[in-house]
Amino acid sequence: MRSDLYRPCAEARALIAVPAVPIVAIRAGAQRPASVPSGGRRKWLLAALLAGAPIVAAAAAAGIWNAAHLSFGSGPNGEMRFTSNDRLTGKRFPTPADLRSAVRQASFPAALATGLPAGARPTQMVYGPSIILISYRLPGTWRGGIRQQTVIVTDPRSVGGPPAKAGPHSDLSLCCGGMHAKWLVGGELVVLPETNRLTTAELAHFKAAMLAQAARLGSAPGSR
Amino acid sequence: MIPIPAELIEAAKGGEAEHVERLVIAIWPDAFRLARAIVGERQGAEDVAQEACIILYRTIGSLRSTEAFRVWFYRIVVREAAELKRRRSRIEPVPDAVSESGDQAASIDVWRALSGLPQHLRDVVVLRYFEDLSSREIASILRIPDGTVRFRLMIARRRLRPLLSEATETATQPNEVTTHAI
Repeated sequence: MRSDLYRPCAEARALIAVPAVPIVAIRAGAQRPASVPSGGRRKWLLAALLAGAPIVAAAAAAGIWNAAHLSFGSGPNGEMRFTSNDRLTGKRFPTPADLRSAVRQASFPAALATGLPAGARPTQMVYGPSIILISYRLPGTWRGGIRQQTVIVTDPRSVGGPPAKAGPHSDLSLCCGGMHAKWLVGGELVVLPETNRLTTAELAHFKAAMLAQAARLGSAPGSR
Repeated sequence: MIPIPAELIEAAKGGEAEHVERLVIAIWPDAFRLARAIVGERQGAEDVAQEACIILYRTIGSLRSTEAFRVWFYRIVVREAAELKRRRSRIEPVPDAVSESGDQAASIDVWRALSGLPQHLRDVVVLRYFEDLSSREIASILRIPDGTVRFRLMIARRRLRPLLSEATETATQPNEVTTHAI
C-alpha cells in the first residue's frame, strides 16, 4: 500500500522547482500594521476577552479628544463604558515579552496582575496607551470546563470627568453579567469584571498581592 | 522535508528579526512545495507560501511547543491555500505548462491524478504522501478526527490507484505525448 503512492508522490515533490525566498516582501508584509486589528476584529477580540459579557462596541471617526474615559453605571452590576482615541492592539496567547511590551507602551505606571491562582495563564490581551485588558485562564476547573478572569488595568485619570465630546476612536459598552471589583493600586486602577469567577479567598489574595507589588514598586521608582 | 533545528525555532520565538528570518528561509522550500501541491499552480502557491511566512513572522511568539512547529505552520499554509481557493473560486486558475522530459513523466501523472480529486481528498493525500505526515498530524493540521483522515485516505487511494497504474503503463510505451499541464 505504501510503495504504490509514496514513490511517485515523492518524485513529483522533488521535481517542484522552488523559487527564491521573497524575504524582502515577507519582511515588509510582516511590518504592515496588522498588529492593530481593524474595527471589526478589535470588537471580536474584546468580545472574546470578556467571555460571557455582552458587548456593544461602536468605532467612531477619530476626533480631537485624546483622553480615555471609563465610567461605571450605578450598582455593582452596572454597565462599564470605555471611550478613547487609543488604538487598541489585540494579541492571543501573549508571551511574557508581549506583556512587558504592553506595560512599556502604557501612558500610566502600569503593573501587571499578580497574585492570581497559581497556574493562571494569559490567553488574550487587548491594550492601548491608557488601558490593558488581559484574560487569564485559571487552573482547577471542574470537569475541565473553562474558568477565565479578565483583569483590566487603566489610568486612574480615565475615571470620572466628562465623557468624550468629539467622536472617540473606541466607544465600548461593557455590560458585565457578574459583579465587578475595582481598586486604586499604586498609579493604576485595577478592574475585575465578573469577579464571581474568582472565589472570595482568591479575590482577597489577589488584592493583597497587587497592593504589596504596588508598595514594592513605589519604593523603587522607574522599575515598572 | 527539510529538518528544522529546534534551537532555530526557539530562537525565532524570541521575536528577533534575524532569527525569524533564518527560520523563514529554512522553512520556505517546504512551504512552497506544500502550497504548490495543494493549490495546483505556481503563482498561487508562491502567494500562499509568502502569506504563510508573513503570518509566521508575526505570530511565531505565540507558538507554545517547539515540537509542534511543523504542524502549526502547515496548518497556516493549508488555511491560506483554502482562502486563496475561496477567493479564486470563480476564476479558472492558469495551469503551469512545462516541457516534459522522460524523468518528469511519472510526476506529471501524479499531478493529473491529483487534479481529479476533490479538495478535501487532495489535502490529505498531499499531507500524507508528499509531506510524509502521520494521520494524527494530518488530523491536527486539518482539525478533523483521525478516523476521518484514514477514511479519506482510503477513498483517495481507491481513486488514485487505477489512474496511476494506467499512467505507468502508458508511460512505458515509446513516443508518448510530451506536454502536459501541471
